[in-house]
Amino acid sequence: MSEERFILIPGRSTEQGTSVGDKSSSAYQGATRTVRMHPADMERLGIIEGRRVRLRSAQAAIEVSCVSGKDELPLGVLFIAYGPDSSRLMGAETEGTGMPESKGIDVDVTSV
Amino acid sequence: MTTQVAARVVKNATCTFCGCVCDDIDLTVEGDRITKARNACVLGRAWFLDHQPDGSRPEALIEGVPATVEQAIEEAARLLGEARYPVVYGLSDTTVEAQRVAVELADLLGACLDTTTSVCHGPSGIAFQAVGEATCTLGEIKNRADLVIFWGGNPAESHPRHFTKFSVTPKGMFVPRGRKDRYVVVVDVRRTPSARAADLFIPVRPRKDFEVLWALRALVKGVAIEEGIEAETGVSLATLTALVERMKRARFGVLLFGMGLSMTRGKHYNAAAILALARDLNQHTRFVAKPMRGHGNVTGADNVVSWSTGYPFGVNLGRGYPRFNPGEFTTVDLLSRGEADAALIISADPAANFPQPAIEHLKRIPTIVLDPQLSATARIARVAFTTAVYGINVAGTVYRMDDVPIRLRPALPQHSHRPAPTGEQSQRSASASGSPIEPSFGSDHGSGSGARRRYCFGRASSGHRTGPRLPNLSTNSHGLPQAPQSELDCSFVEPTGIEASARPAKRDVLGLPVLLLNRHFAPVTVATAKRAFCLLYGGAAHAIDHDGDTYDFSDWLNLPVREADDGLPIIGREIRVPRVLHLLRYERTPRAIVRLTRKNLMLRDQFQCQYCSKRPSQRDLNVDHVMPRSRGGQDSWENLVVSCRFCNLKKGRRTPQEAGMVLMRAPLRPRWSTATQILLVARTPFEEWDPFLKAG
Repeated sequence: MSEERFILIPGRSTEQGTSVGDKSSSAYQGATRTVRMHPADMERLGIIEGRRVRLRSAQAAIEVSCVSGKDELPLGVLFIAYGPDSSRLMGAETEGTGMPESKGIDVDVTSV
Repeated sequence: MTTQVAARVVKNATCTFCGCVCDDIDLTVEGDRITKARNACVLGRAWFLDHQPDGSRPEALIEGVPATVEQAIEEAARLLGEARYPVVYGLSDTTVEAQRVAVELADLLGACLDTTTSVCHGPSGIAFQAVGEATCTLGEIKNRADLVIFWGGNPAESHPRHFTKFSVTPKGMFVPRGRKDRYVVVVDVRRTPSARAADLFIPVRPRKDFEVLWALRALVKGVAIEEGIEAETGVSLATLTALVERMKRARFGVLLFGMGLSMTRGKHYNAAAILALARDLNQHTRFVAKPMRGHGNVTGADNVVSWSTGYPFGVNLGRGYPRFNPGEFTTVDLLSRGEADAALIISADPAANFPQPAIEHLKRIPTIVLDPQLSATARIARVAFTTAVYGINVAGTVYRMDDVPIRLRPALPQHSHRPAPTGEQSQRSASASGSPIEPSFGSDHGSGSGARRRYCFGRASSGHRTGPRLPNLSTNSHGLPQAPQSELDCSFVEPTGIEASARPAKRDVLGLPVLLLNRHFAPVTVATAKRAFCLLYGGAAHAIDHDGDTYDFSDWLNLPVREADDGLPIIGREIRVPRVLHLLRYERTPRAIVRLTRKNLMLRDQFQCQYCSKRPSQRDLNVDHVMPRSRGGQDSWENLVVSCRFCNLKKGRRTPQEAGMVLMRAPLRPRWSTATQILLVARTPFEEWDPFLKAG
C-alpha cells in the first residue's frame, strides 16, 4: 500500500495526563500509542478502527494503533498524545529558538 | 482483627500538576496515604493519588545500583566537578526554593542553565522580549473579562479547572452573570473538547496561525484584507471582520494562547503576533494576551532564573556573567550537537520527550537526575536521587501561570516512608561536596552572601515589587507611600471635591464628588455630582450602586434615597446622588498629570530631606532648588527637592556638587495613576469607591 503525507499534531489528552504518573502503565502506553485520524481518511486508506499504522517522519518511524478522530480533525491532520513515541518523530533542529518543531510534523502513513 | 485508621482532612492543599496551581483542594489522608482529593479536577486527582512516594525506590542509585545519599552526592559532585561544559536542566516541577539553589549551583559550575520552558513557551519568552506583554492576573480575567479567546490551546484537557475558576463560567465583579456575560472563542486546528465549550469555534489550517493573526492586526488597524485570505488560512474574511468588531466592542478582552502557537512552525513569530495583536487592541479597549503555562511551577522557573540572571532560560554562566542565547545554550541544542559533557536534570524527563539525537547524547554523557519517579531519564542516569514530591510531601512556593506566588501545604510529612531528600537538599549537598569553589550557602532559602550574588538584574514581577518601604510612612496597594492623615487636609488632585467628605452641616449636593470610571472600570477622575447628572442624563454614562449594579438615568430615577445616600431635591421628591459613574464611551486612560505643588513634592519625596534623609516635622521642611533660582534654576519636578531647613541653609546658592552634598535620588516627575492619586489624597469619602480604587 502506498504512503500518504499527513500533518501530525502531538498534544495533551486527558488519558495521557491522568496516567503520566506511571509511564510504564498500560493506560499511559495506550494513550500515547494511539493516533487519531479523520474517518474519511481512514476509509480512503482502508484503515479499520484500532488497526496499526506506521508513521514515518524525516527522523524516525513508529507504529501505533489508529482510531477515528470523529469530528475533531480536519482531513489530512492526525493527532497523537505526547509521549516517547511522538517525540521520536521530532527533528532536533530548533532554528535558533531552543524549541524543536513539536507540532505540525510531516509524516507518511502506511497501514501495517 | 483490623485496625481502623483515623482519616484526617488537609484543607486548601495546593495542586502542582498544571499551571492553574489550584490551592483549594481538600485532601483526605488515611494513615500515610492520600485517599481523596475533593475539588481537584481529573488530572489533579491523578496527581495526588498516583504521585505519592511508596517507599519502594532506593534513596539513590549509582549506575543503577542502590546507594546511600552520601555516596550518590559524592559521585554526583565528582562528575559535575570534572565536567567542562555541563548543563543544568529541568526545574519546572520543583519549588522556587530548589530552583534558587539550582541557579546557585549552575553559577558555581559555570554551567548552562536551562528550564523546560525552552521546550514549552520558550518562543513566547523570546516574543515577550521583542514585543512586551499586556498582561493581568487570572483574578482580573475572572472579574473583568467579557471576551475570552483561546488560541492554539486545549484547556479542557490540559488545565481542566481554568474554565470554571477563571475564564469561562465564574461570576465576577464586572461579569456578574458569569458565563452569560462572557463570549468565548476557540481558535485551533482541531475541534478540541475546549471548542465545544465555546460560543464560536474558528478552525485554522495547520501552520497558518501567523497569517490569521497578522490579518487580524491589519483589520484592527483599518487596513483592507483580500478575500483570498480564506484560501490561504481556511478562515473567511467575514469571520475575521466579525471577530475584530467583537474584540473592539469588548470591555476587557483576553487572548490565552497555548503551545499550538509556540511549538508550530513560526514559533516566536506566532507568539509575537498574538502579543502585538493585544497591544494594538489597546488602542480601542483593554486587551491582554497570556500564555497558558503547563507544568506546576514552570512560571516559577522563569521568574527565578530571570531575577537571578536577567534572562528566563537558555543562560550560560561559564564566563562569570550570564549570557542568553536560545539555540546555543538551550538543552535540546546543547545535547543534539553533542556539546554538553555532563547534565544535571532536576524534575524533568528529557529522555522521554526530547528529539532522538539529544537523547542519544544524553545516554553518552554522565547524567545526574533528581526525580521522585524512576523516569526514563533516571533509568539512563549515572546517579539518580529519589526526591520528595513538591506539594505532597514537601513545602515551598510555586508560581501560578499568572506570576502569582502560592505556598504549598503538603499533606504528608517529608519522611513518611524514608528520608527522601528534597531537590533543594540534594543540590545543596552536591555543591557543598565536590565543588572547585568553597561554597557558602548562607540562609535556608538559597540566598547566598553578597559576594556570591553576582547577578541581581531583577525583573518587574508581581509579588516582587521593590518599591521604597519606609518606616515612617505606610504604603498603599500601589507600593506608594501613604501620607499621615494630618498631612492631607487639603486637596491637590484636580478636579476633586474630595475635601467635601468632611460633611458640612448643609451639604452642597451638586458639589459632592463622584468617581468616574472608564469602559473597563478603571478610575479616570473625580467629578462633581452636577457633572455626573449631566453625563447620566445625556446617556454618556451609567450609574453604579453599592451592589455594583449599573443603571441608566430612567432606572436610576426609580431608586429610593436611603439614609446613607444624599438626595437631590426635585419637585415632590428626591433623586439619589450617584457615587460612581461608568462612562460608556471613554476608551483610553491617559496617565493623569500630577500637578507641581508643595504637597505633591512632599509626597514624591516621602516627607524626607533628600540630602540628609531625616524626616523632621513638615514645618521644618523646605523646598530646595537643586540649581539655585539665582543661577537660572527653574520650578520643575526635576529641579525641586524636599530639604530640611538645615540642609537648605547649608547648601545656600550652590549646586549640590559645589556644596559637597549628595541627593538621595534623582528628582523626577511622578507617574501616579488616577486611582493612586485619589488614594494618596485621603480616605475615600464613600465606600462605594473602594473596590474600584483598590482594583486600580
